[in-house]
Parts: sequence; structure tokens; C-alpha cells
Amino acid sequence: MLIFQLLLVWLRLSKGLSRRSLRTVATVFRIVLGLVGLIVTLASRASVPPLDAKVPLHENTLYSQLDLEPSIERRSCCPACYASYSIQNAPPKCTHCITPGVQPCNEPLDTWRHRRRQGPIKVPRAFYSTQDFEAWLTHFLGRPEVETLLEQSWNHVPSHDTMYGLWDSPAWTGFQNGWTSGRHHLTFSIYIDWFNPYGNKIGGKVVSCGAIMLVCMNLPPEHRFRLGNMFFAGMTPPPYSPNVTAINELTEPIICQLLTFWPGKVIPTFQHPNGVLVGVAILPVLADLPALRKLCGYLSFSATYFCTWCRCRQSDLERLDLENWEPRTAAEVRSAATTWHSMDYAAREAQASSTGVRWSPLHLLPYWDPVESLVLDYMHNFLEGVLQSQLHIFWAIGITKARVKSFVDYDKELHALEYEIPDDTSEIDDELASLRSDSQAHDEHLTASRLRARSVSDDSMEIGDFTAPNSSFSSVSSLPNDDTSTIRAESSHPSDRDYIDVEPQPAAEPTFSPAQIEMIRQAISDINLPSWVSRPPFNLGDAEHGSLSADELLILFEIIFPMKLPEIWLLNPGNVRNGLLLHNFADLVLSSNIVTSFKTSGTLADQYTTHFISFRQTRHQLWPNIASVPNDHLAMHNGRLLKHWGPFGALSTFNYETVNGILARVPTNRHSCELKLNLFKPIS
Amino acid sequence: MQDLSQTGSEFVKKFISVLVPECVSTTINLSDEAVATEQSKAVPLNLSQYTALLTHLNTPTVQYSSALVLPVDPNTVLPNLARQHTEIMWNKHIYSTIRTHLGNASILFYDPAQSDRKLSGGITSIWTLPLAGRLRTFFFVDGHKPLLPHDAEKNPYTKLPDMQTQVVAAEYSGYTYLIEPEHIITHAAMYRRPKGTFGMSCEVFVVCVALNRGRK
Repeated sequence: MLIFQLLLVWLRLSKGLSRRSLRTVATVFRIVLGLVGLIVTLASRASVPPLDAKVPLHENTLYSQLDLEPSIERRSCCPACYASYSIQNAPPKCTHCITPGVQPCNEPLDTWRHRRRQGPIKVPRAFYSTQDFEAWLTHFLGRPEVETLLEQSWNHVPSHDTMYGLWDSPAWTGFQNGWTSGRHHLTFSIYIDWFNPYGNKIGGKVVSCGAIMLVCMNLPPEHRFRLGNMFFAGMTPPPYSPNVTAINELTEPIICQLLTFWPGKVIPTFQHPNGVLVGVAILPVLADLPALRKLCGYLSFSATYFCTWCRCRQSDLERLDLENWEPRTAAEVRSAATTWHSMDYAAREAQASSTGVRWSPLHLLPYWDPVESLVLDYMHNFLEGVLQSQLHIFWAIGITKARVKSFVDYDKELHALEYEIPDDTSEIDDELASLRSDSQAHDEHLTASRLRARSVSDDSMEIGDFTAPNSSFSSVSSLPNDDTSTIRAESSHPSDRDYIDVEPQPAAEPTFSPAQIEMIRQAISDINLPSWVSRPPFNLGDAEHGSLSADELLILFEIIFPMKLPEIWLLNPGNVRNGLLLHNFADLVLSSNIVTSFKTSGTLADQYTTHFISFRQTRHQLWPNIASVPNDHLAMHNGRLLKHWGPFGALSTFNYETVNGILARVPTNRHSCELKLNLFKPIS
Repeated sequence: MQDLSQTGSEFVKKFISVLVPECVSTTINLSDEAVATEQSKAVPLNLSQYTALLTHLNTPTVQYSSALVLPVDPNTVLPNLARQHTEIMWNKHIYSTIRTHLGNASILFYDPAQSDRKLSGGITSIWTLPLAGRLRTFFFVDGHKPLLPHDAEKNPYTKLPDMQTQVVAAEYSGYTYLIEPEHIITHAAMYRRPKGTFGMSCEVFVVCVALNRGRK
């Protein structure tokens, strides 16, 4: 019987069998089992209890019989400010105030839905679903193999020089005086990102649903990203991603759950059925660059103090004297965040602008280091940032006027929608001011303006990511909207919502002639690659191939270009510019190889810094009119971060993005209010 | 009773292998039936391959005796029959012979005779052989041929070592290495360039081994 039940669950969860088909299969099982029972009864002439009744026909019954039902708490959620309430005791209108003394949100929380039998019933307009961490942890540690796997991290002896993973890094070994090596001390990473639950459709709805995931870093790397080993903490309510203040409302319940585990809780495990004290801590915080800022309480890239690791300003983007940069400290950031939190929102503006910091619920965790806990994800920063801008902006491959036009056209489309994008969504100040003025306006205006306060997608903060402060791109300044920050590069590629495209910057003079481009394309076609490597598009540079994925950029810069570009640039050895181009490219390739490697050391980290600085120096020599962008500045921190975190290969968000892809493919019936539950159950 | 439990455990393994094939360990001992199936598809190794295999398996300690030297000890004799493959899956990657797929056949590997020495080459043949109840895989790999001294001077990659790219002659060295899967470091990307590239006097291969990314 258990086999039939497991088979049905497997068909449903692993193979995506529809509910209707599941019922059909279950009915067939019932018939088969009934016939078997009948035959056995006739053969043995004894009464055999009917087996068929035990095969459940409904998915939920199946899960509950097998104890697979995740413990999910659903709360009524304000669609405007994301404050959550118990469904039973929710007030008719949102009573949440951003700060004490401010007018409450007053957004209606309920709506009417017509049911066939019950008629119209009152239901919450939005739900916020979170999974119970203790229940999940009990289930996780109750599995026979888990503690054996966890012991590998507790017994791990870090290597002295070369680091092969997180367990070898000072971030791990030095966390709270070796806390990570204590038995039943579990260290999790926290990750947040947004995806379109209706799939990535160019002509489809732009809907943003956020997944907050925790991954147990004590598991060996090959086990960390199995769905059964990941904790899906919460799903943010679609269709919009929360703004910088609303996200705190969503993350706080999760952080509060985790806070109770810091001193430890007694949890029964497979090896200790009577319970053992289990401690839980959050160490690496992972996300794409804008989401990281939202989650950890930093202002966006367009803020004066845009860097999360140092106090460099926007005007310091060209600085290469890394040793003179003033690093941020945990105490300073925590103090600034606490001050911001205690202020009324009128004063918060000045406070946030002067420090670049605001409050995040992560500050509730006493051990959380708001500077050292942040991981600079190389996929977003280096691959889709530095490498992509080298290709499109500096080499001028694949950036065309048509592409710039597409940015504008798509932007116009967005403005045509009722969900307007504010001119500068990056600064919390504007959002707060907007909310305040909205709260005093007419009800109809209230709703509309709150929609403005939310971003259509979470990555509205990406707007400023690649904007050069001194951008002199004439095409951009002549665009209908003179605020270039509203040209949402990411939105112009709805097929790949995490694609962070470069802002239309001053297009460099083409580095490669058409004949050389053709040679590169021919090389892409001719180079013999193993079949597991995804070959970059043969028509590189043409708009037709669409956005390049991070993986394709990696293959281009680590395999294809190193095999071809020296040949092109050395055809005329006397050409000084070609020599400089080769030097510049070699520094970039070395930096890329180190930052994407699965092993690192202090020596390699120093090599990275040396070569990346050299790369930026020669780049400035070659293209003096193109200004640096925040990504360039952030990449300067990679050397120090490699020494702290160990190899980035094991900490990249590639695996988390894969899970996002799985979530985006979960079948939904487009009922946004039920969406989170539909997504939660299959993955939990 | 033991037989029954064994049968039950075999059934569960088979059941799991159908549901979640990737969870099934590849290092399980072969059943007699599997050994027989493997041997039924085996073909004779040629003399040089057999000798190389015997030498490889008897290094550092002698475990097998030759089937070509009389008298033959049936307990220790190394069978001269093995199953030949054109491609094989290992660690989720496909390895092929040069004739089948040059991209899947070009590899960077550790020299079994000198474990810290890394070499590049192309797989010429792949064999599997049940030994001591375990299916073992062997690759015969032709090493890449270094450039002639006057061409090596023109190799631009000697000044760009961090690109993890090298230039070798387009023909193989003729020296064959016998390796096992654990000796393979990574696949290599290959790019055939005509005579005159970089001013060289012969056709060459540009070989890039950056796919490893420090994994091994």
C-alpha cells in the first residue's frame, strides 16, 4: 500500500502529474487492489479486508496520510504595505503605521469572492505564507542520513593555505569563536529573489513572487541544493515585489523564528529521538545585488554611499587605491540602522542619505554581522556585470541603437500600464514621502499611488546599478524621459528576469572590425567543446540571439575568447593598441578565472586584486571616455571577500537560481491569492 | 530467509532506480549475472593494450598474472577480454573517443606514473572490465604532441599562462597513456588552426583547459 502511495506522490511531485490524472491513476490502483483482494478471498476462501479504500484519491489526503504536509502558516497580508495579520483576527482595514504617530495604512484587507455553493464570501485580498521552521527542522533532522552528512562539517579540519569551500574559510571557522564546529550547530544561508510564477513570457503578465530560502551550509555541497534539504521560508505575495520598507514586514516573522534557535532548542533527531539541543545561525546572505541591499538594509547603487563594504561615494567610482578605502564596520552599520529605526520617517531621509544604511530585521539577530555576512555574488557582479559591460560597452559587441530603442520602447509600455514606475525608486526617502502624501489623499488616489510605491518587479532598484554618474551617452539624454534611471534594462528582457543588462552607456568605437567579428563567430562555431558546455550563439553581437546568459558569458570569456582573441590581436604585432587590448583582456581573464574558481587562497586573492586593478587601469587608457559603474567598484572588493569566504564557486547563486526556475515552472491556475500555497506545497 | 531479504532489497533498489535513477550508486558490486552480461559483450584486447593494462594493474603491487604466460593461474589471471565503448558517462559528463566526438574526447589528466604531472590528450579507446566484482573503466589516451622548438618560441600563450590555454601540434604524440576516470581532471576545448597561425610552421591545436575551474 505504501508503495502505491509513494508512487502517486512521485507521479504528482516529481513528474508533474495533474490532479485530475492523479485521481484517475488512484482509481485504477483501487480497482486493481480490489480485484487482487477478490482473487485472494476466492482462492483462500477467507475474508480479506478490502484494500482499495486505502488508496487516497485526493492529493491533500495523500500528503496527510504520508505526513508530507508542510506546516505552512497563512496570514492575511496588506496588499499595500505587506503588514500581516492572523486570518481570523484581521481588521477590515490595515492598521499598520510605518512609524508610531503616522497615519495608518488603511488599505482594505478583504475582498468578496463568489463561491458556487456558499455564494459571496469575504476573503483576504492577499496572503503571506511562511513555513514553520521548527516543524521543518524536526522533519529534516529526523531523516536517517542527515546527521551523518552534517557530521562531515563538524569534523572538518580546515586546510591551511588553499581553501576548497566554505568550511575552510575564515568566515566559517571564525564565526562566533568556532561556533560552526559545535555538534548540532547548524549554519544556514539566506537567499531571496523574485521570479514570475506564470513563467517568463514575453507577452505575458509581469508578476513578481519572491522566494525566501534557507540552505543548510553544514551539508556537503553536493547535498545542499536538493529540494528536500532546502527550507523555503516564505513566499512574498504577488503580483508586485515589496519595496524597501515593505520587505521588512515580510522578513521579520522569519527572522523572529530563527532568533529563537540561536540559544538552541531541543529537537528530536534520528540519532537522538529524545531530543538534542540544536542551535541555528544565519551566516552568508545571498541575493542578486539589488535584492541584497533590500534585504540587508542598504540603499541602492544610486545612493551617495552605495557600497556595502566601504564608505566610498559615487564620486569615488574611479578610485583604485583600495588600501585607502575606509571600510564599514559592523558596529557602525548596526548603530546607523538602529538610529534610523528609532527616527520618525521625516528624519529618516537625512539619516539614510548620510550613512547609506537603514533598518533590516536581520539586525535582530545578535550575531549577525551586517558587513561581513554579505556575499558578493559573482554571477551578477562579475559575469553579468563586469564581463557583460566589457563585451557590450567597451568592445561594442552587441550594443546597438536598436537595443537602446528597445529599452525605450519597453519603458514606454511600462508607463502605459497603470502601475507606474516612480522616477527614482532607489531612494527610500521618496517612497516614504510618497506614502505619506498618499495617505492624506482621496481613497481612489490612495490605492493608485500605493501601487506606484511598489515596484512592478523587485529589481526596480537595479535601475541605478549600471548607471555611470558621468554618462555622456547622447542617445540617452535625448530620450523622451530624461531620467535614465527609469530605463529598466532588466525589464527589456522579460524572458530572463534576472538578466541585468548594461545601461546604455557611451558606446565605444568598435574594438573589432566586421571581419574580426566574423572570425570570432567562426571560432564559436569551430571550437570543439564537450557536449555539456552550452555553446554561445554563433551570431554573437546580433540582436537576434537575445540576452546572453551568465553561463554563456563565462564560456565566452574563459574559453572562446582566450583561444581566439590573441590570434586576432597578434596578427599585427607592431600595433600598440592591440598589445594594450591583449594586456587588458589577459588581466580580465585571470581575474575571472580566480573569481569563478572552486578553490582559492590568499595568494590567488592578492593576484586577483593586482590584475583587476591593472585591468581597470588599462581599460581607462583604452576607453578614457567611459566611466566606471558601481559594479566595477564592488568587484574591487572580491580579493578581500575571497580571503574571507573562500572560493565563490561554491557560494554562487547559480544553484538558487535553478530553484527559482523550478518554482517558475510549478503549474498554477493563475489564482494569485492561492499562488503561494500552490508553489509551497510541491517544494516543501 | 536471507535470500528473501536479499531479494527484497534488490527489489527496492530496482524500484528506486526506476523512480530516481540518479540516486543509485555506481560503485555497487556486480552480480554474477551482470558480470556474465558484461563478458558476453567483451572483445579481445590487442597485445599492447593487454600488456599496458596488466602493467597498470600490477603497479605498485602485483595482483594479476598474464593470460599469455603458461601455466595460467585461473585465480589471478587477467582476462584478455573487455567491453569496448565509444562513449561513457562519468560524473554526469560524457567521455568519448576521438573518432566519436573530439570535444568529449579531449581531456586534461594526471599522469598515473607521476601523480602531480598534468597532461592533455585525446581518448582513443574506452574499455570496461569486471575485476574483483567491480566494473572498472580504462581509457587509452594519446598525449598531445608539443610544438617543435622553433614553433614553441612563437607560442604567445607562454607569456599568457593564466589564460590556461596552450598550443600543441595538430597530430598526437603517439605515446599512449592508460588512465582511469579518477585521473581525469577536466575536458579540454580544442581549436584546430591552420599552418601559419602565430607564424608557426605546421597545423596546430589551441587547447584550453579552463573548464576545470579549480574543481580537481
